[in-house]
Amino acid sequence: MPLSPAELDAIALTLALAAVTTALLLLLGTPLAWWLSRQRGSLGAFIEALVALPLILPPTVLGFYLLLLLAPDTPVGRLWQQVTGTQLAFSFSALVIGSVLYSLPFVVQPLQAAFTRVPAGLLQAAATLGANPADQFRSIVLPLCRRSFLVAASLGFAHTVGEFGVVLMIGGNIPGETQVLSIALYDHVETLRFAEAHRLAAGLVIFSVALLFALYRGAGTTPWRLRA
Amino acid sequence: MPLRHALLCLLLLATPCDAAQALRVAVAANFRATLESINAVYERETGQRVVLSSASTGVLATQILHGAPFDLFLSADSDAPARLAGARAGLREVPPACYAVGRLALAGGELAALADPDNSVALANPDTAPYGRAAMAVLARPEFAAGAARKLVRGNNTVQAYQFFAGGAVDLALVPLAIAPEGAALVPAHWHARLEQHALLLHDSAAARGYLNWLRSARVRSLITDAGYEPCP
Repeated sequence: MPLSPAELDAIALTLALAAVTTALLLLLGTPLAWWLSRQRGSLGAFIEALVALPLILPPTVLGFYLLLLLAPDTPVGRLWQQVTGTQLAFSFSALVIGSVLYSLPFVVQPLQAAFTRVPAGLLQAAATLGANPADQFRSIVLPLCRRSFLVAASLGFAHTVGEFGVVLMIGGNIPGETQVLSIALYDHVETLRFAEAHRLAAGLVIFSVALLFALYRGAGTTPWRLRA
Repeated sequence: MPLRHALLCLLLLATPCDAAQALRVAVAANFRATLESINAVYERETGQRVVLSSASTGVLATQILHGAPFDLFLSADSDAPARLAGARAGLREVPPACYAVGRLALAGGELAALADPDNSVALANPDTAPYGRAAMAVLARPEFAAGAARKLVRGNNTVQAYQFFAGGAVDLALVPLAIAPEGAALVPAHWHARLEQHALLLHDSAAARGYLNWLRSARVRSLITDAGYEPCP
């Protein structure tokens, strides 16, 4: 049984959402993780707590607040409408905003852990040789933390693919626009199409196992470690 | 910078696809299967694509209130469309119109089985689904008072309530006749508030009006009654 056009739409939409979310998360999460890795005080701990919130809060909490925040009659919704000419609530962009918040800890935490392990002495040595912060980041931090970037990107991508509650609440299950894979699967179950539901569910299981297996296998063979 | 190019491509990918031309219909869960089969006829004859989003009437109404971009709302009652039309000025031009009248049925036994407290009963969530409210009215009847201690299982919508029954998790289910299995017991219509299902035009366009007129045409009405609904007045 070939995949239906709606299912192909859902797959394309899911991959686009996960890719855009991961790209944004790497852009926003890297400076945030770096800043957090250099904090000792309570402000850092507080921000760290906020970043970790999506791990423990029910997705419905985030979905509920985003629904209220993004609706067309709110300041955010109105501003978006003026700037882009399109409506924010129940759009792909709303899903991206929700996903970035929801997958934030999955990208920030591995990066922060890796940045914390970068020895300050190396950076100071580079600075004495005239390397500016951008140079230091490119030639020391990036190579040292390459694996953590891979882990962060993979987890962010996978977690976005696996998202359900938030996208259901702020996306509204519209085929071709906000109906991602997990929602399409839910839709199949809700309409008693169990054969189609099995196919999507099995596909998601296989994808997730393959991705995590590749990650953990890679973790066993770290290319090189820093000697003290 | 290859990375920048890759990001640009991703953003381009992210723009919504061809769904703009398709009619977007929010439909109450009970009517979805019926609508899918009659939409197949419509799409074949007109070439107009119709995409469906289904949930309980209350869930859809909340989404619409928060700006969900549907062209048409097929509710399971007349209250939700009337409330939405009252809440948004632009929706008053075309008043909500009846497209089907629903009937409730009991799957899994005769009506008398509702008087037995050992029988668990599935129904749609009465807070969001009109059929759930109708089911609660039936269960509250004096002749079923003996079964008051029964276990009630609430589905998010009528289809999920039926699913609990079909999967063997409950003994009985009060669901729309249109999705009930063969041999289900028909619940007398006067036992609950009338389930007059209304359609509301949310986004005015020639395509949406054309579709709504087609939905209310004599030919489609007969398809709808064949599926387990009664004709509109």
